[in-house]
Amino acid sequence: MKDSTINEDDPNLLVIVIDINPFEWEHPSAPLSLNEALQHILAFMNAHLAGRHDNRLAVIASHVGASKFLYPELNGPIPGGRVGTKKDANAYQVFKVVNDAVQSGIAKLLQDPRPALEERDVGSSKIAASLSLGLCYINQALKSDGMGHVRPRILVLTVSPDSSSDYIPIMNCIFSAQKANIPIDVCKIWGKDAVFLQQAAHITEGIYMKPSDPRGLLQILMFSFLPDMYSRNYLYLPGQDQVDFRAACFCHKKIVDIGYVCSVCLSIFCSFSPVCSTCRTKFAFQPLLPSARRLGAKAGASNPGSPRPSTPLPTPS
Amino acid sequence: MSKFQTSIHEYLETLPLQTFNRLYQKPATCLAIFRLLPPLGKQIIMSSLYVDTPIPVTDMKLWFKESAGLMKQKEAMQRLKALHIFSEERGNYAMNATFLEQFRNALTGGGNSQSFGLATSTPDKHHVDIAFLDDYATKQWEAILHFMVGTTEGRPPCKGVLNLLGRSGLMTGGSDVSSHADSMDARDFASQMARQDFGVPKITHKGFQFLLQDINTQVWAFLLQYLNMAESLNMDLVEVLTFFFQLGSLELGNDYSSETLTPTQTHLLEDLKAYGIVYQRKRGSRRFYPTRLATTLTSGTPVMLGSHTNATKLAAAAAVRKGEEEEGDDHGFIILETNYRLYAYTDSPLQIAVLNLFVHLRDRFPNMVTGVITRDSIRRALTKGITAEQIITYLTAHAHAQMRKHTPVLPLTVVDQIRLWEIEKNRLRPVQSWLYSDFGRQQDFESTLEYASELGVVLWSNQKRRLICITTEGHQAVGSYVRKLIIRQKEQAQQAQQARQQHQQQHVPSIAS
Amino acid sequence: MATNGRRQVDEDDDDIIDVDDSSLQNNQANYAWEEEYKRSWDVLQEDEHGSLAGVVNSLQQAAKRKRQLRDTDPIQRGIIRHLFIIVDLSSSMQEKDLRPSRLSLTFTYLEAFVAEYFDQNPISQIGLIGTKDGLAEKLTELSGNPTEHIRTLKMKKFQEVGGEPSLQNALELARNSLIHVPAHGSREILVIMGSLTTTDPGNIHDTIAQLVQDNIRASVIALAAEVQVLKSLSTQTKGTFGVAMNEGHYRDLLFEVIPPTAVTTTKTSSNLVQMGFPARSNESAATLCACHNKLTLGGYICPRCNSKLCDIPTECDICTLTLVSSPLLARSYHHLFPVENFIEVAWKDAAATTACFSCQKSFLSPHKVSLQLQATTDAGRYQCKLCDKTFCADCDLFIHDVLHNCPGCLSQPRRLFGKPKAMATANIPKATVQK
Repeated sequence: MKDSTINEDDPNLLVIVIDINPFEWEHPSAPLSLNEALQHILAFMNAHLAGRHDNRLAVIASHVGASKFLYPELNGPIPGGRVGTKKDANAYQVFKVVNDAVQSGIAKLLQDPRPALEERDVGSSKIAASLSLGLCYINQALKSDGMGHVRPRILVLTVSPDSSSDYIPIMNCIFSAQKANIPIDVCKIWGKDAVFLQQAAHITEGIYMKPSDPRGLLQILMFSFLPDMYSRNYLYLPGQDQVDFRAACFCHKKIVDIGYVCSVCLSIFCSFSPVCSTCRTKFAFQPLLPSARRLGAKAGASNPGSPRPSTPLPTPS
Repeated sequence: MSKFQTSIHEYLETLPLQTFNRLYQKPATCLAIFRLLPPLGKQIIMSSLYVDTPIPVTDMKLWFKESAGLMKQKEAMQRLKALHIFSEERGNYAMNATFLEQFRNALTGGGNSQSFGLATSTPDKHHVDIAFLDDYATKQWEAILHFMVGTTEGRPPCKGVLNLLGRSGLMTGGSDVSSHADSMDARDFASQMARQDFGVPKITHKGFQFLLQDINTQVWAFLLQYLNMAESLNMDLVEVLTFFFQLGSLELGNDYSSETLTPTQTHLLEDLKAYGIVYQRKRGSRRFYPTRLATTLTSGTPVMLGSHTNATKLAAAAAVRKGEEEEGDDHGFIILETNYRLYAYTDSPLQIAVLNLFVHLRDRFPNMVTGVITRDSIRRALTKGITAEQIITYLTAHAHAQMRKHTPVLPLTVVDQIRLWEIEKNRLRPVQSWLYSDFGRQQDFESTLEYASELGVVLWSNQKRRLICITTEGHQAVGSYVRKLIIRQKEQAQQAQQARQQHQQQHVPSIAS
Repeated sequence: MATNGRRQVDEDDDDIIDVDDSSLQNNQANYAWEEEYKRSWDVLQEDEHGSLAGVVNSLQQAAKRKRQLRDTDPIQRGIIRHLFIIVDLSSSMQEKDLRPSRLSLTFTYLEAFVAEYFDQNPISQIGLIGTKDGLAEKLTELSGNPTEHIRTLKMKKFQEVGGEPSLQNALELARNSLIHVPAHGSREILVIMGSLTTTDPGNIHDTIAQLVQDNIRASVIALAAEVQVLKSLSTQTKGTFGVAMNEGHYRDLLFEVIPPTAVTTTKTSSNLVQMGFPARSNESAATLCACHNKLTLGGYICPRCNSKLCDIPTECDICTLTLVSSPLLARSYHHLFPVENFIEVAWKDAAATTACFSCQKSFLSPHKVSLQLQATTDAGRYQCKLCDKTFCADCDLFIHDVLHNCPGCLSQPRRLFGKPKAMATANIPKATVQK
């Protein structure tokens, strides 16, 4: 990653994923309100844009049950074009366009009817979706950059806990990012360490950090997450000492040293079981097991239990 | 860092602290100066921007990795200190308070300095679009360049421009322009130039070099010259600089109100109009439009003007409207082949004139000229004071998109040959030296020569005529040695024939290796 | 306007060249589909501005997509694979019908192959066998360490070729190693054959029968022509057979082997495999590692026997436990949960969307494209059947080839009752066993 081809004059593309999960931000124990944090984040965005005139920025909101581009906006005002926003001689126009888009975008998202509270148990915010969007955006940006100088990176600002169902999509994102040499920086503003994202930062050679005092967010962002790929060659930045790569079994969520892995779907179990609960494969040497009752299960989509990306079922409203 | 940034730096670094303190009162200026810094300089500012206490020097060292990192830090810190952004006091780095406050304002949009340009509140009845502005800027700027290369196209630029051209030494009106200019009021000089009292102005060596630079560098060279002149015109430097930097932060295609400008800046607007940097429908109009020349002032992206055919200009304008600035990359038009043939897809008389400086042009087609780079054509350019490096930079900067797919962009053979042709010219190299002559005895000569060659300071020697050339560094040692020789001789053979020695400082041409 | 026209053509030229580059990757082969592409100039029509750019774009999109509609049925795939590659090192490999020569092209491709193979099959193994002068020789043993194979490939590259290959000897050699691998992994052989003949000590059909019996799948890539014995080898063992027509085709044939193959349910015995997830240890003093017997700082500690190993994935040299890390396993998951193919949106429905959902690139509006043109091109937008989001061709390709996530589906609120159907691997599987 730290190859010599990184040039001092390369423009940077920063994709910021902001977790706006209201359950976390409005939790009584939250040390910082979303609005306060947003002020910090906006200043940080401006700092990124201030660095070079050709630095680019994309902002994606990761909400409970939704993930959306805040800037550049889909069907929104065209960046750089003449926009209807009120001009303010005290603000640099470029900053203002971005800030307005982000603020109004978040306000709009939060205005939407609250996701039902039950969903809180089901999932936290859509980090995986936001990462996917970000990667697609970067892919497109790199393609349209004829000279191949743009240096992309992703910064995830999150407060939500890991959502276990996000594991595979997040892993997929991590590997595509790793392949494309896109570092994923993660700032877990408060709460428990986000294990998946910790791995993301580790594998993609990004920075993972959990600030000790979230109220100094801006300073942390400026100090640790602002340096571009060029500067990182020369700076000491916070690293991770120990990343836990041990696996948790799928059956009891126990951390295992030695586990049983299904040879077909690679699900991890802590003890032997006759049938893989993920892919329904029946394992060979289980002498006491009745003969192949469920062979048809492997055929796939027709079977509701097979591992498929979710088909939308009618939701109870 | 590109050339124009260096030149602004050099200029800025000459300014005193007071000027900086006044400059930093405008957030737009802070932002513009910030963008001129090297990446690590920017990072240092950002890292310390929200730290309220001064940072110990030793602490900052810990931010950087050993060797390479610390070296970069030193470089960056030097810049920051020269620009008075940081000062070192009692082992602490402290940021300039004005800069700190205003730069924070720039980031958060706070304060009330109105430095980012006040947009007009009412729509313009005579609104102009970006294409028009591009066209306008191109026309104005090219008119100046046309005038310099002496093509007849376009009307001659106004006297303000002529004045600048003369003052900056890009063109000369024949006799002692510069000496006169200093004593004379600049306006007078301009009118004299315009009346052609000095005869037809001629382009100078510096002017040729100027033509080969990219447009951003050209514009800055102009503006810096303007700054120099501003002082003699009793204009306030800070106001002028602030206005330049403000222009860089404006948005292309928008109109801005000129009502908030100071009288100096209003005056400035008039002049900038002549260069094509801003557009104003008529003198004294309450609104003005920055052109692409203005909005890219502090950005460093090559502005694609001049070199453009209509089609690309429109495409570029369209691209910008779509917010895809990377389109700006393919603005090259020159294809250079390994057989020294050059094809330039351009119909601009200006570009052709510039190419004609160092290319032997052969054929001209409606949208293309072809030519060959020859020894003669390059030598012609070299005698005009253009360097090989400039030619190569020019060719690289304007290489066609197809050429850019190769690395290196230009064929190596041609590049090397151009350099060789330049070296061919530079076979003589002057070296300051001391000539020792009139050695009385062969033996003295030999021992001196031996001594000097042991020191490695002999440039040239002649056994027969007993001559030695010694470098300036070696003179002291050899001189005292010879003096000692003389004294010993005096003692040994009293009143024997004396070696007279003559010190003479002169230019001795020696053959360069 | 003359200049305008010229530039336009220029741009088109560029685009065509780009297609070539991206698809063939630095070889100048001619493709079957490329021919087709060229013929499609017949149907080219200028749009109302006299520009061809729009048409060319959509043609490219069509070409892009043609190559990547793939099987997304959720079948079981053998993810733990054991593959022997048999490389013909006979004198026929010196032929120069493939540039620069069959041999050097093969080795160049194999290097890329090994890297890509381990990228996609992180816990699988490869072995290399060379055959010449009627003999077969193992170049590398079965192992999961890509660097070793690549090093060997680089070394062997300069070794001479000679004589006749022996197919039977090579197959037997591979078979002898493969019958010992655990039953849960696949057993595969890939034969790269330049020669049209083989010198065998016995009846090759016996060997083939033996392979079938041992459940070993043999695929063949012939560089010269279709040879009956090779063809029957592959058909009987349910492998694939292909003859490389040119450099590009050769590469495609080779890389087709990389994605894990579907498990033929009757044969493979699936099983739970015991694996260790070692923790990385950082030591202050160097200790001996179990794999190379060298002093090293830090390494992975086998959770069963506590010996130290340099790198994972590997098999513990002391207790033969397979050691992996959880991200490595996760790397294979996308084979199990592929993204549905997107469907093309017709021009008549195209007005509904203006920009790609994931990259924000705006689509060509159908109002700007003449009906005539619409008849010959597609709308350049592709829809996910599950979330109804629309994507551009670039993102479609990226999502299916690299990312393996549908951003649209992920961005939707999770259905409360639909959830267990989702890729609930990390969830408590009890929920999965509904009904």
